[in-house]
Amino acid sequence: MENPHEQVQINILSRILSNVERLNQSVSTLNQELANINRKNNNLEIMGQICENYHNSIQFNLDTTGNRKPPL
Amino acid sequence: MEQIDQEITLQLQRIDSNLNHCFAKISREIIPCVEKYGSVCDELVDSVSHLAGLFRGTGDVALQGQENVISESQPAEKTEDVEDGINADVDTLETNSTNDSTRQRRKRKVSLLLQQEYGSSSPREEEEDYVAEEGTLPSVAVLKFNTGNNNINPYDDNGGDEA
Repeated sequence: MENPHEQVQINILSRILSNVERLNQSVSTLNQELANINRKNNNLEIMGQICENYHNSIQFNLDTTGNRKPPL
Repeated sequence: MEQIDQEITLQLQRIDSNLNHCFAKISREIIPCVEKYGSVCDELVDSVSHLAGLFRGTGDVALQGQENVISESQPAEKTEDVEDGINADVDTLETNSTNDSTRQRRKRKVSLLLQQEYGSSSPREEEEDYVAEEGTLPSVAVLKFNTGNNNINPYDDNGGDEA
């Protein structure tokens, strides 16, 4: 008597399995892409730090030599 | 029992629908968005790379003068020990043959030291240091891109990574 329900449930379970499999695949590709982007962004981060340090040092030097001019 | 079975089936159906919805959302919205973000970041890197070349050039040109400056100046800061260590390393490195790896190590130590000093924006009234620093800072960053190679070409290697 329970058979029809069980069969339906088994069908749904198999669909769930396949969906979960696809989901895992897509999530892993997402993770890969994000890792790639993160790797590329490390260089950008360093570049930003370089520019920031350059800015700080140039400000200090201008202040020290007295060449700092107000914004136009 | 019947009711329970029906509810079980209903819940399973809901679970399946939710999972499907998540998968569709991810594959339709998020991955293309992330790809666009990646392309924009690549454009950013390309536009910034010319600045990095400028800094690299100043670093490579001013390196000889930089070692003399560092050996001469010994301020009473917390980086003093580091400087002494670097002076010793520089001397030992100079006695050895000037390989590219030793040059790299020297550059790294020098620029690390300068980055510490200028990263904390401590006052230093020597323009030579400043000029050399702006070159060595990017060189250390540039060297971080390439830990194994001798030539400082991070963006070419990053292109290699992307490929």
